[in-house]
Amino acid sequence: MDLITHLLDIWSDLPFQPTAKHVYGHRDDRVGPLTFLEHLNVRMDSVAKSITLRNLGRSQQVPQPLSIGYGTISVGGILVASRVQQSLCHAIHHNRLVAYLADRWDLSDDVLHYKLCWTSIARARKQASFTQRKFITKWIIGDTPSGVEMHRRQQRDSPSCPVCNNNNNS
Amino acid sequence: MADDESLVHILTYPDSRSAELRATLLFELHEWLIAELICLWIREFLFHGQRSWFDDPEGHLSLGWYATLFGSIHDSLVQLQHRLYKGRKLQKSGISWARKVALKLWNILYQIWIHRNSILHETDTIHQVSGLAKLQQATATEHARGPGHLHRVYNSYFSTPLQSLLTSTINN
Repeated sequence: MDLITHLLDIWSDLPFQPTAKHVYGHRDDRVGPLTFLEHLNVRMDSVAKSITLRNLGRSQQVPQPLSIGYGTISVGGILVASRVQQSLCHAIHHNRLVAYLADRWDLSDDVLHYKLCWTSIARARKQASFTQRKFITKWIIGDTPSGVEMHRRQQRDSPSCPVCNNNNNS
Repeated sequence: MADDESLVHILTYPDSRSAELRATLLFELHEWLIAELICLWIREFLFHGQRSWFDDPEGHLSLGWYATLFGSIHDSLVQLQHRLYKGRKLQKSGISWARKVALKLWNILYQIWIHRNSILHETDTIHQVSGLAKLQQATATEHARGPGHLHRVYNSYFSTPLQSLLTSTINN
């Protein structure tokens, strides 16, 4: 949304009329020479990736209002780049998650918010199996049926460790 | 006296089999980090940091190694690894590396949990922690007291010797 709006702005200031042309992405994945536009697209991808990585954890600069286009939307200082509904949902839940983890792990909100690579965590969760995701979530919220937790649920006689118990008895 | 089985305690069981499992899992992680061409500094930092936390969780909590086990990788490490890939003209990205590390660390957690479950459920330990001693004591008391006014369906239990009642399982 923001990128297109800015492009429209730049185009409107040009002394000539640009012609839009569709180029397939990731053409460097296939074998064979690239056309000039495909080459430009691959280069743009690489530069965009570098910029993203360089700016990891830094707060985004909200651009100035535009002369034409549809304007920009930001949620809590984060620019909405594509879907508004998803961005709103993410902003609300992410802030709550950060506050919860900061309290649970005794870490600073700012460290969790700005210094962690959340993109990699999100991608890892996407790739993990449902069982793995469920296991990690339960562990983080302390719902894993450990001795302490089972004792709290009154399903264990004592919260003591079965491994240590085993060693003491043997 | 056994410690309480908290989540941190599960990850740092002091017994030799658990320590051996952790050493094996960390060694596998180290080997994987080498195979993935991970920057030497990051590799040693992750390996030794995580190992020192397993050895002494209380002393290293403030450094966030517990959080690291959940795949929390610092942005600066991701950028460092990305620069290494770029320097070697590889098409990999630091983010995809961090994603793989997170999955590896989750797997370590899962393997430790599976190991704990095997100790608990493949031996009689589950009965011990579920109150076997109290159950046996109550059985002995009831047996000594006799059937009294209980319904006759329970008579067979009182004609059985106490010792075989105490040694029988719920399946027989």
